[in-house]
Amino acid sequence: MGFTEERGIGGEFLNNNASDKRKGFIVPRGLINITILLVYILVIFSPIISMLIDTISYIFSGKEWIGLLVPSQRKWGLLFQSVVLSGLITVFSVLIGIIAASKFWEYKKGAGKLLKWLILLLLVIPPYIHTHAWGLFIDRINNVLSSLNFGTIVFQGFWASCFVETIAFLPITTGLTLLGMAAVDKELVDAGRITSDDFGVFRKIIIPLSMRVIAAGAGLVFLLSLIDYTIPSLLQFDLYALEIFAEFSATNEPVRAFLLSLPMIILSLTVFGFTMKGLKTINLSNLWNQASEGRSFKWPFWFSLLQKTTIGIFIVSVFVPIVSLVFEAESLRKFIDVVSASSQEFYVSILIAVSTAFISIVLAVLAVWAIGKKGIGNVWWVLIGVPLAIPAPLVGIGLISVWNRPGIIDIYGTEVMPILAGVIRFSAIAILVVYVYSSRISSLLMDAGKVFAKNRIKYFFRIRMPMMLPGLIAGFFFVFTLALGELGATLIVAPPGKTTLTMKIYNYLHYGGTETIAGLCLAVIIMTMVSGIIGLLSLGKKE
Amino acid sequence: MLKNIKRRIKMKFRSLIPVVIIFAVIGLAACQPKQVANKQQDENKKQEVVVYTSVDQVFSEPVFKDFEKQTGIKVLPVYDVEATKTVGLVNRLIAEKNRPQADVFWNGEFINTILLKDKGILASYKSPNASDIPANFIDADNKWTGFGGRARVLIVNKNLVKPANYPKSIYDLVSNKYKAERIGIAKPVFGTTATHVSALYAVLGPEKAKEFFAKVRDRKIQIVDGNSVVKDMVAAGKLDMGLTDTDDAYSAIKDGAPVDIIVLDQDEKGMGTLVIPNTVALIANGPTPETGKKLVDYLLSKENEARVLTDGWIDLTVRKVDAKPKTDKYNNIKSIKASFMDIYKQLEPAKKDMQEMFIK
Repeated sequence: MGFTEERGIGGEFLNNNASDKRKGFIVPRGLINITILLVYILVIFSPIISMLIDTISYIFSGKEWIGLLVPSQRKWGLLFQSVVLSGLITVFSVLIGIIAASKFWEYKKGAGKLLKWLILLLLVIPPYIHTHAWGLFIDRINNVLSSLNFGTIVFQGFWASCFVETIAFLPITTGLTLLGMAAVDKELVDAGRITSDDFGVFRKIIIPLSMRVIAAGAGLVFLLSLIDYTIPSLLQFDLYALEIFAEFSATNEPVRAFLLSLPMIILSLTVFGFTMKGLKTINLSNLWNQASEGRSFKWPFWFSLLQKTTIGIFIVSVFVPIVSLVFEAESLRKFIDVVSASSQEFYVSILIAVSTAFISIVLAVLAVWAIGKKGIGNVWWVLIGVPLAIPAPLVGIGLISVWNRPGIIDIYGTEVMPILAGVIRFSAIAILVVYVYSSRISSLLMDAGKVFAKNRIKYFFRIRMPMMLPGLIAGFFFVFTLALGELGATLIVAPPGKTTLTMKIYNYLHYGGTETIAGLCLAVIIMTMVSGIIGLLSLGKKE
Repeated sequence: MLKNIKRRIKMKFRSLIPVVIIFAVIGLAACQPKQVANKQQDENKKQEVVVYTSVDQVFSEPVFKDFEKQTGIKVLPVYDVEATKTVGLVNRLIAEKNRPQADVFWNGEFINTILLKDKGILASYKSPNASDIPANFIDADNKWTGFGGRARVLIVNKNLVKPANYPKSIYDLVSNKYKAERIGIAKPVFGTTATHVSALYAVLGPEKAKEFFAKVRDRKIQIVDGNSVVKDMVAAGKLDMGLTDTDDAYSAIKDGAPVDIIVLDQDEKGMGTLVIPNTVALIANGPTPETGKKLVDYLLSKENEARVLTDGWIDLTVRKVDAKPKTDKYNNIKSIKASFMDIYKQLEPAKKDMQEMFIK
């Protein structure tokens, strides 16, 4: 039964066959696509378009702009070291992600299955907590080394930044690799195992067939690490992204910051587009084939050792920050006090993160449907990549210029604004996750569903949506955790009197209330885990 | 048959749980704009005041709570954070110029307040509670008023540097007497460190100031992410000493760190150190100017200045208040001889130079 087709996601919607025509009025597909595209552009691109208009008027006003657009020697240097750092972070997180995913992939039941939670746990730990916790950890190692008269480890600069960011981005590459591997047709794997050893099958069948999704994850990590200056700055390593903030801080002119960020945006979009190219067409497989259990894989000793090492990296990466947070939180009483004193912040944060994730998922479902047969390699990768590449404060400033005006929709000054900021920044990630997950869904099942469903609406809600649900939930949690940690744009548009947990944590970082920070971070981790468990339990036994 | 139906209902119910949760939360969210759109909206607004502040939440929130208790006016604050590298609230105020959302800006420093005045964002208001504040802390057009203050100081790890070896001048930091890799300053392009650089530009002249920072760069003094990082590193013994603000230094002492605070350049020939007052301003065309004025009055009151001194946000006062400072170190502190306006004028060129020198 199983075979691999080269088809676009949602391709089944394109078949305007006789059975569809019998089932009622059909709106032309092109019209729906254009409508979805316009809605997406309206929601996501309005602040960016506003920034572009301001930029054009700035250029025509005769002010100096070429110097910003064409980097000086120093700025080229910054851009170069940013690219090298992001490149290495991408390579390391992809390599570790592939090896770890190959082990996680094997955990189908029992205690091993619980280890998959490490991915979610690692995802919910904010990057600055990694930096802080590893700093403390290295300090303790240095104390031991000093007492033994050895040299000490210097935890700053290029390699420290590379280390922390690789850990922070590991859940993205590992999660997407797992999704990619899950989309590989099991019958192909079984056929391969007849003629080749397991590692050969992994190298020659599983990895090549998952490579498009892995490449998409690599593109995403490259882009996200290129625009982030916070961790490298904490670890005393300067990047081009910091230069943009320095320019913004020195001149208070968002247009200058935008012009300065254009070389970085163009570069990151080029890489992002190149890695997304593979998603233009994706291998569809039959989901029911994935459910069957085969004999477990036999790996060469060295690879098995690498797998265990990467799982060890996950365990250590999760436990070092959590243990250090537990120590810093001082006592359970203190933890409860901190949490109860921040109930308002919890409410605001959950509201914003859940709404952002929900709207992003709705947009993702629509976008994946509109992408359809043409694949993500066309205009959509630009639409997905651009919002990811825009520095967060510029998104906030753009939102103010679009929405802070009287009118019928007077949403400025409400919680809708940070939600909108989150949707603009992160809905692209929801689209990618949903798109990749959709590749698992068998077109044969979909076609069968279409034949037997009474109408398109019932087909959509009773067949397509339940089959996509795990992908939607995965996308939901990706966006939920990212929105929970968003700061740059939220600070610019948060309604007065409403503070998010991240805003509070960063505010306390300056004051130095370590037990408060630790308590709040632990609470964020617990909260995300609990909501993750609720989401997964609601899926029943489905993976 | 019945079992089958039950199972199917159960399965459907399960898959509905996340949807129900999401809609419940969205529903709660939807309630909020409705409340805002309520008929009572205008009436409520008269009893509200929106304040944007760069003062740490831990210090400013209790002040707002007390103001609420005393006046019955609800305070809706927006707090800034150090991590946004001073591009947060100030740029929000600039972007909101055509339709301001804030009534009051309480800034932990002065330079961005002057910038906002330049951009036409502030309204003139002479608070009756500022009558005893010296004239040099009040803007000539009454667009802002200063009170209290912090100073730039050197924080030293007592376990690593003996008191006899404490530096006395900022120039000591670039002398060979101290190991450069054991000294730290925050990135001189952001926050109060950038203000400090501008002050040195104003008092020494751009050339000499640039020369000084070229030495800082060439000696490879540690350039770290912020003043709080300088404080943390000195407190942890990773650095011997570093330049920071008095509030950061005090928080290290409060945490029991083995540190000492040194006010630099205080001898007769010394140029003094930078003193950074808080500034309070009313926003032009803010939504509720009347409640805004009440909050400005409250923030500029002697009682509030005494309170934030006791709490540890400020270390210096601009007038005699009924509270004791934490230390006598700042009594009769000699401050840099440059006006706030002179320092402000140097900000952009100084930041540009520092960008070229230190971000690489």
